[in-house]
Amino acid sequence: MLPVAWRFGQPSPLPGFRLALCGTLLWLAVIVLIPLGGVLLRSSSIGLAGIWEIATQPRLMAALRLSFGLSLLAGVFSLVVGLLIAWVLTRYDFPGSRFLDAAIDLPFAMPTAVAGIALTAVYAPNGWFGAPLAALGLKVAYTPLGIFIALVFIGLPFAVRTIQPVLAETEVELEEASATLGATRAQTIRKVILPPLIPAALTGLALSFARAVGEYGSVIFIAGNIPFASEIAPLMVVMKLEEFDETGATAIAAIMLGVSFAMLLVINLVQAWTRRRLGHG
Amino acid sequence: MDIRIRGLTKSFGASPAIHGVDLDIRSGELLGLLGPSGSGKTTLLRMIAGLEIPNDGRIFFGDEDASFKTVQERRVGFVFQSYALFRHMSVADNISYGLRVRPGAQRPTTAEIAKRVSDLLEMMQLGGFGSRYPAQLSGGQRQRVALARALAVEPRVLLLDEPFGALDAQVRKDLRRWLREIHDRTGHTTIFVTHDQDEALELSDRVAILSKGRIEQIGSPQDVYHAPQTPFVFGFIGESNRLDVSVEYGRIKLSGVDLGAAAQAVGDGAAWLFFRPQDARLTDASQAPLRGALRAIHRTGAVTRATVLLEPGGALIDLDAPADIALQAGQQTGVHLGRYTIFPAGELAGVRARAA
Repeated sequence: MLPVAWRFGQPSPLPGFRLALCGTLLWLAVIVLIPLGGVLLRSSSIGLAGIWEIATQPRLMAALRLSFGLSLLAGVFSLVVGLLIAWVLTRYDFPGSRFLDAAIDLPFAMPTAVAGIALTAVYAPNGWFGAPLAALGLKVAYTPLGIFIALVFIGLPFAVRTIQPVLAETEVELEEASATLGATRAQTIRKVILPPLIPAALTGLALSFARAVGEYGSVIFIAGNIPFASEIAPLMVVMKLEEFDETGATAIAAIMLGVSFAMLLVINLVQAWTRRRLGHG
Repeated sequence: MDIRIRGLTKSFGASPAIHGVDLDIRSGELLGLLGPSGSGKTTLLRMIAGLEIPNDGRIFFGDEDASFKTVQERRVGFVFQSYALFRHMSVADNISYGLRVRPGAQRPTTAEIAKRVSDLLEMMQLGGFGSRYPAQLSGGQRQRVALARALAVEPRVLLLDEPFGALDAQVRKDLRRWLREIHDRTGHTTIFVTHDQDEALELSDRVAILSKGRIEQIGSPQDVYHAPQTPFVFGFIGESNRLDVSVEYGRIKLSGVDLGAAAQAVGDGAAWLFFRPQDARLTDASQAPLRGALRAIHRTGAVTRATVLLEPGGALIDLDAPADIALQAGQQTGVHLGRYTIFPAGELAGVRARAA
């Protein structure tokens, strides 16, 4: 659908623009801008130097590196697995495919703490997966690997649900045309199927990354929260609050906000660039 | 490249789509596969391409048995009704795709590819469109890009599935003429599927008419129009009237009224008499055994057509009338039958005429 051009002071045959815009701005202000502005205002009371001092504390630096690094890694991993799942769900109809399709959304619906406890139970050194993995010398729970698994768990639905509709629109004829022109299956996937998915895949990456950065409930149980090893940045915020250090907490929040915004901006710019390159206008 | 098809059979689940089809396509020929939807024509085309796997039968490309070759090995050019252009590639990249995916040793140089693309763009009257994207083209232009892409790989046979099905009438007509020109210039063996008989008759060297997974008749457009071999073909190609008659001792009876000796040898019993509107004319009511009441006169440009409700049998028939016809609706008239074809009554598919 093309956007309706709108000019101030001119009556439109399709009214509703003013009302819709007012609603949008009000909502954005109350739910997003004012709370975020509060965070920035509160944290600014200690000045940039104060924020810098907090940000450069080694313990927080380690937590930030862990949070953003693992979130990005988990987002990329979710994307690969999500692509495969979306492919199977759109291309094949098999017994139980509807059930599988519905199950994808479960991580959305579950209380995150429940997911965290369940994952911890399974991956703990005496759990179903944890015990055999421990026998192989691989410790999952209470390590960064455990955090990574929790982040993939909550990020996967974002990747699947953004890629699925685009994949469903890709006609089988495109693959057939590629095959009649002599392309191997691998060439068809690489040159015909994947490129049109890039914008949707980047959206999926941005969403699952953003969710992972802020994730708290499902991570803290499996993380073990060992300083410098498996302590995530959102936990540091909570700890500051428990120490009644609200200024410190908002300072960390502001730092996370800045880094997240920068990373999402980069992803969106890459997406806009690929969209243009793919001829989406 | 001539193509021979022997005993090709394909079923989807329990319903058979193609029943033991034999078909010979001559080298350099433009063959139309014509049939109603569900007749199996697209399935047949896709099996030739290797996009469907037959249950039984053989396909030969020249002397080579291609039955078990993969799509890639068959080197066919396939044009889809939906164009199936790669949206994220420019027109030039679409056309060169088949050349670019070849393994290193067989891949032409970049300069050769560029030359081939510009030659094809020229041939398709798309010069200057190379850097556009499919979304920026009209339907007719997209279909020409799809054809150029198929021709770029020098296919052994060109297969087109309802190539003009999604286009509007005028563009269709232009592209039809133009496809014929391209075919005459390049000399590819070409098979195309259509449900539009005008398209099939105008474009093809020969037409194969399919119904319910079998070939009813194969012949020149003249043959299938003027000498239909089955009731299905008579009814499907062009306009026709059908009368349910019976044959007794070689004479045709319509609800007891004698219409004269049968023009073709046909066994006694129930029979179908087919004729075209231009092969009958109105006569004096007292002179013909076939009589009826004029129902209506339709004038459509060059043709004037009368609808008559026959008295014996009560069938409605259409026949050509002179433009200056004086008769009014409701008046009695006689009908003189010129050329007609008679078939034993039966199934509308798969019944051969006895020595037409």
